[in-house]
Amino acid sequence: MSLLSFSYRYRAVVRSLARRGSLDREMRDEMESHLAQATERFVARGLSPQAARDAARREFGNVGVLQEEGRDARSARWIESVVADVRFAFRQIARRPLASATVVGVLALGIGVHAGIVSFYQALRLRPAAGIRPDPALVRLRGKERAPESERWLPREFSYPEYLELAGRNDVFAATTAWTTSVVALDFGDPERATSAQMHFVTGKYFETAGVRIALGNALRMPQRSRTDADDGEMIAVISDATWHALFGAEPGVIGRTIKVNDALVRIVGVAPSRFNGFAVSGSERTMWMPLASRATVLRTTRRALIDRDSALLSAAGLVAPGVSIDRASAAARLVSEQAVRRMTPDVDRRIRTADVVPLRASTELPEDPQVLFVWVAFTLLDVLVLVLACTNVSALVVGAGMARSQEIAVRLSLGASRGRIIRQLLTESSVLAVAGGAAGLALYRAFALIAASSVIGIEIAPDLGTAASTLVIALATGILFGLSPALHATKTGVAEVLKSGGSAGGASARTRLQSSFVVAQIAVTQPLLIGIAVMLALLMKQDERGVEESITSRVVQIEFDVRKIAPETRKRLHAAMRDLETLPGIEHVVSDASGRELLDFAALPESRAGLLREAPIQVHLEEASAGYFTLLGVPVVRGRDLVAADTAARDRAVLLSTDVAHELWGNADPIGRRFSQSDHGKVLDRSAVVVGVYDASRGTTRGPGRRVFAIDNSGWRDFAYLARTTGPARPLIRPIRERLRKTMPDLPVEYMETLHDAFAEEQRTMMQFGAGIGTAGALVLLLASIGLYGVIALAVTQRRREIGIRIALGAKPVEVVALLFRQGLWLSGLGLLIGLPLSVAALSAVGHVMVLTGENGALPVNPAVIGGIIAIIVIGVAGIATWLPARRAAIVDPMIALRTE
Amino acid sequence: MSTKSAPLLQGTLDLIVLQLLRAEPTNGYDLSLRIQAISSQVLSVNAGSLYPALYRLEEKGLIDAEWSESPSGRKTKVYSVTPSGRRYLNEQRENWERFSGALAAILRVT
Repeated sequence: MSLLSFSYRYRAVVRSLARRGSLDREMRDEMESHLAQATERFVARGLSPQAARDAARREFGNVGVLQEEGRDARSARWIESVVADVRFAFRQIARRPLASATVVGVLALGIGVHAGIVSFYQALRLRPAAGIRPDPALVRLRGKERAPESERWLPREFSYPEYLELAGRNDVFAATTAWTTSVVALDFGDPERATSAQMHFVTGKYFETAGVRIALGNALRMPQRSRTDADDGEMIAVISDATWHALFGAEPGVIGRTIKVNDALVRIVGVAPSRFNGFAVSGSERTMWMPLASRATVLRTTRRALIDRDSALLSAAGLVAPGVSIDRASAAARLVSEQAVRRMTPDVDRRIRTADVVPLRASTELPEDPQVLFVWVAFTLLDVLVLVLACTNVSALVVGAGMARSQEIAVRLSLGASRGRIIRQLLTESSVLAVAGGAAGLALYRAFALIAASSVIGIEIAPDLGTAASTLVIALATGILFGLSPALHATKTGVAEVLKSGGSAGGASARTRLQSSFVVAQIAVTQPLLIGIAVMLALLMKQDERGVEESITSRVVQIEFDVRKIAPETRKRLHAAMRDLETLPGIEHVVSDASGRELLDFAALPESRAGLLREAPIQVHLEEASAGYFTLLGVPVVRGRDLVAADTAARDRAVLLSTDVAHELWGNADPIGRRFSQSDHGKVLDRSAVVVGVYDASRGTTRGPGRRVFAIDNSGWRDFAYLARTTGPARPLIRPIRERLRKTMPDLPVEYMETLHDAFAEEQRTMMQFGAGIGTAGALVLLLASIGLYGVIALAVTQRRREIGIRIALGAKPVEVVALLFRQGLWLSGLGLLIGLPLSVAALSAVGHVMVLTGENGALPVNPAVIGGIIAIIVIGVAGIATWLPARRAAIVDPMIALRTE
Repeated sequence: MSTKSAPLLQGTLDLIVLQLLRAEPTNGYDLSLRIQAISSQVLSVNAGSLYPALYRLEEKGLIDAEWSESPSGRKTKVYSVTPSGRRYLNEQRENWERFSGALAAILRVT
């Protein structure tokens, strides 16, 4: 295009944009002028003025159509028409507030759930933890190990010397940093305010590597180059923003203040920026950072942990050097690590130890568990189901609205509106609804994220721009996709035909088919959603039944320390402190609390098979408890004996079965002395188990119900939770216990201490809240599904009013007509339920898997058939009401009126 | 519409409008009369196709419009061909002549 013609064209576009109104006026003036001239010509030929004017009009054609075509010929036309369409769409939406609100509500739910799932996935798997600059060069260096016969890699920490060798590969890594985390006690001089925090002991360049700039004060001044992180460190700390707010009231004077960390004096030198909480997701927001070198002083351990080659202490992250791929870095890390391990710890055990490098994400933890993957799959399934449900509802309602308006559309077509114009109009309408639904859904999720932000630490779950954009695109696509077919359909039928037949002609059978399939799809999708939620609820309720008697729970104190990374030497002192606690007046006995260990398959060994009622291995939760656990809890051991200390050294693993398990396997026969093989995911363990006792399952333990087997704890892996039995009421003893522990374990803060009674009550409250949340979600799904179902069916029935009128005019009784429609509605609902069945089975197995992860044994506490039956009744009930109400309304009107309507 | 009038070949209306406007700038009504007169009533161009064509050409910058007063004192919109319109017309005329020549030759031979 030449410059000149471009300038003409440009002028035309600008003019048409700037002078939309006046151009329209000009066009009308011009056509008016044309008609006037033509009229003059006919008058000159001898026609009367009126006849001349009519002749001129006939010659000219339809002015309205012409003006429309004239407008279409101009560019920038679409802008004004979009504005007009949107305005018109709003008017249409306002005319049907209930239907529109339903569409927006249904979409909001679908989009809200979708935004939530996408946000969580992004936050955990696609982005680094909160506060860390996203940088493709940022990587996590992971130590990993596995037993030679196992396929599963487990995480392992690096020793400091091994980390130094990895960090030495300057050709691969531009920067590296490492850290180790402990829980420390904070003391502000006031015992009431004593609290705990999570302390990261870090090597140099920690904050630089994360790309984090200290918000207030300075980063940690690390040892000079000539010294290493293992030398004496300064007693200085950076605190997280949340710590600053929670413990120091966000006062700027915090810089330079000295606090006591595990009885060591530490000076605060900086405050980390808001949200930054370290490289990995962690449970506590109260976070601090100190130089790695000060660790020994703070934890009162030796400095050997940093020198020893077989220590396992450090996690690491880094930046790959420019031009180095993550694969290459990973290969280098593997090589360095394997060589280092071979050289430094040649004969520790047979485990295979190596390292790899992966992009830094909030969650990159090993093992890459298939069950974790399964949870994601389950959530994706939920996401898709809810979206499909939303889309079905929306499309049904939009289709319905489009059909109800076919007469209006026909009138507009006959008045000169082009088909494209009307399709655009209808699409605009559904898009406006879709975008409104999308925005509402985002707002819904945003509100949730704000509420949940305080309990989700270390990751950003607020919807980001990408989530918002993708969500709105999905919403818009829904709008267009589901607006398109009704729009095409509504404009396809012949004008005359529609006008003649009162808006119900044109592909009546196709329409019925479409709407029927909506009903079926709706029910098919709703059913698994409801069943999944119902089973989840039932599981929660079940979880709640502990069954320990109050006379016992009020005489037991539960004490928990947060010692996820406690050093072995602290552990020994802790055991001593517990023995010391037993000397406190009012305390009878202290045992470590039982804890869930693993899910194992138990199969009776051949010599123990006599009288066995069940051939297949049973899956049990192996719980580890200490000697005297059942006695302390007052749980009767109905056969055999409680666990004793000597069980630790026994060759077979001594176990107590619950009466349920014992009964399931041998009925009333004596199970004592029977032996099992234990296998973990199909792999048989060397050790077998022998039954030493049976406890009364009806009385409950601290571990909840379910198929449980208790064995002696001989690894001490969870010796941070204890139960103290008191002679009298336990509550008054909490303070003396706390004071005694402050003396014996000044460096180890008590994380939690309550009577068992209060602990259970609190747990119950949490469960109730959680249950209420799930219940609300379920009620919401049910409500929306019902509205959608009602909408679809009611609309279909309303549109058959004409047919109903004819039937009644021909002599059908109203009752017969209602029965006919009712039968059809039920038939469709039944079909939907049937089609939804496989989906429901999938939903059930998904819930089962999720529950395995949270410690339940995957056995459903309720009969799925019962839940399925209840839900089928609800769904069919809703469908029935939705059919019956409008059918009755249609059947009782005078056939003449029914035939004349619309 | 007379029985003799033929439907317009696709795309020829633009050509006709440009050619007539090059001869003399004029308004839409006059243009419709001229098309009928010059084609001896064979081509009947109704307003329904003429005005959209005029707006389209104006949009493309091939013609330009101005409101002016007719001799009878009526305000009319007078269209004239722009330089790029002239260039476009020349190109299209060559194309048309080649095409019609070829068509005539074929019709003669067979």
